[in-house]
Amino acid sequence: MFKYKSPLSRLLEGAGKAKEEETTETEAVAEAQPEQAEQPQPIADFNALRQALAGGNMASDSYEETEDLIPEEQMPEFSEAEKEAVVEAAEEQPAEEPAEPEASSDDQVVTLHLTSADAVEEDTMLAAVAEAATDEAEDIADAPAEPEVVAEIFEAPAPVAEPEEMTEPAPMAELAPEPVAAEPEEAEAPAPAPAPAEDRRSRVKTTFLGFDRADTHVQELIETAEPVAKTESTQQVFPVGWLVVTSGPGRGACVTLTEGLMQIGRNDDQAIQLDFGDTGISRSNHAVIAYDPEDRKSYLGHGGKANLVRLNGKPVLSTTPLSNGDLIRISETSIRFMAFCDDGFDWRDAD
Amino acid sequence: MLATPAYDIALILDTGQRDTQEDAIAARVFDSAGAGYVVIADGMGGHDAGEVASELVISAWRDMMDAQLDGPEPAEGDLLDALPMAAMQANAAVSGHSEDHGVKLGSTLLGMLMLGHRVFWISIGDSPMYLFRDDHLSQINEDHSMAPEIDAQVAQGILTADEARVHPDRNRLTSVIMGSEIPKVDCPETALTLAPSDILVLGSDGLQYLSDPEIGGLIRTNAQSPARDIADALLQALQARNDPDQDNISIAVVKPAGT
Repeated sequence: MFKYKSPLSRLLEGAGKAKEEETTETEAVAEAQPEQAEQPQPIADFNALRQALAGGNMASDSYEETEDLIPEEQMPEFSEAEKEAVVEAAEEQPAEEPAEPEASSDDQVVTLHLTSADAVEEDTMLAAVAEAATDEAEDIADAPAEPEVVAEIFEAPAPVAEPEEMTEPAPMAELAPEPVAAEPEEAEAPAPAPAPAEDRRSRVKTTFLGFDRADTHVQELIETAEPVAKTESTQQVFPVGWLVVTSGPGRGACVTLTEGLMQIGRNDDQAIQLDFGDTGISRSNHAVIAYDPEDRKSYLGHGGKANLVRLNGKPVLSTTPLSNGDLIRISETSIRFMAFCDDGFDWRDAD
Repeated sequence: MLATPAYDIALILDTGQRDTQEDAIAARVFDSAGAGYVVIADGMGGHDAGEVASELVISAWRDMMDAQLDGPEPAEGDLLDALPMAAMQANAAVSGHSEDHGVKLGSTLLGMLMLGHRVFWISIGDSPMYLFRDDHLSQINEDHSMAPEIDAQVAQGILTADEARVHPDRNRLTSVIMGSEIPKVDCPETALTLAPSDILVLGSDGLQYLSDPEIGGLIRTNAQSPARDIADALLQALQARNDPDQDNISIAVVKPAGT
């Protein structure tokens, strides 16, 4: 989480925070440094604020360097930076103010900038709250000034679910950004107020980032699945469609359809060879499939008086156009047709 | 057929006012398999071709279905596949005859397979299949002629009912067995389940010189009678009409046994 904290927020921490928090955050700040250095805008913020705050405590060397690169005299020219600095300064006040009494009173600290629900949750936390509260305050101050920080938070959603216990100070530090998310969530979805803390936390963050939870299982799949080995060499076959055996012997087999007359049979010489053990399929020419580039459709025909083929259950007694998803049945074998060339695409289009 | 026939079936074949009989009809019951079939073919073509076509269709059907039903413990999947297979064989036979003799010929096919109380059928052309159920007659197979489209034009107000009735294209078929592609085939996957009081009437379009309400009325009057009485009542009504253009007449009436 702290990775994504802006230099601005760290400055605020340094300026307004009690010393005890420094220890909890040192690690996070150290982690954050490489990223921070890459962002030009926060550097300006830093300089402006440094002036305003009369030299907060810097933990990072990289900041010392950037400071050298940007002389303080030039700062007034950075109107943007100035503005932000002003905003920061303004925000800093309300944010910090609640933090002070919190540290002293230890309970109800969070209520000052969070909802009652959050406060209830966190009432039970004693020393940890004091630390977290100030963190939260800083993040609140953070949010309006630097939206990009907010956008980055979603990259580390995993730790959010973990701090369920909330008995240790360490998880609390991770939770710090959560209150930022809490505010919009309360407005949009007030219903689950008394929900368990862990539920709230994960969902709160989600809503705030506009990140759809439904996607996460796909993300998980992509992150956890092993790459499939290459099965065969890729060839330029210019497919017009595919047949996939969906039931019967050979279930799961796939045949690429190309232009020309493609006979279906069990023999080796059949363009669509279905030799998976269904002997009800003729050796040769049980049925045929052909793509007609004129009307961009594939057609199914039967291969003679002794070869029955059904299309969507109906016997095929004449050449019949195939539609995407059509089910072809030959003997005990069911095959689904998927079109590639159709009204939307034909290989001639690309020429 | 001998002990406890599962179906009460009556067949009638009449030439009507035509010189030749181009219709053909057949039925058979397989007591051991609890099955039976009825098949009607309405042939067309110059010279003798119509007779030949309907005979080719009937014999293709019989060959296919008899081979299945006479076999030991016929598999239901094979029996159901036999319906379109019979149509394909018939089409191949018609094609062969057409090529050998250089004539154009064709035929409808209305084949019905009964497995217990379940009824399957294949229909190509305009030979009608009626179900009389709950005092109401309805045609349950597709009509592969221009008649449905012409009647639709009546519904849209494009034609009057009288214009539609005598429309020259009314009996033009949109699908038929004539040795080439068969554009339309009515062969439902799911069975019609017969109730004990149901009556099935199959025919060639010669039966339709009676209107549907007339056919329904005659069945209603004779609903409690054996199948042959119902069939006979229909034939007598057609003969009483004495239409000089009366086409060949095929009629099959099927009642589940025990009613």
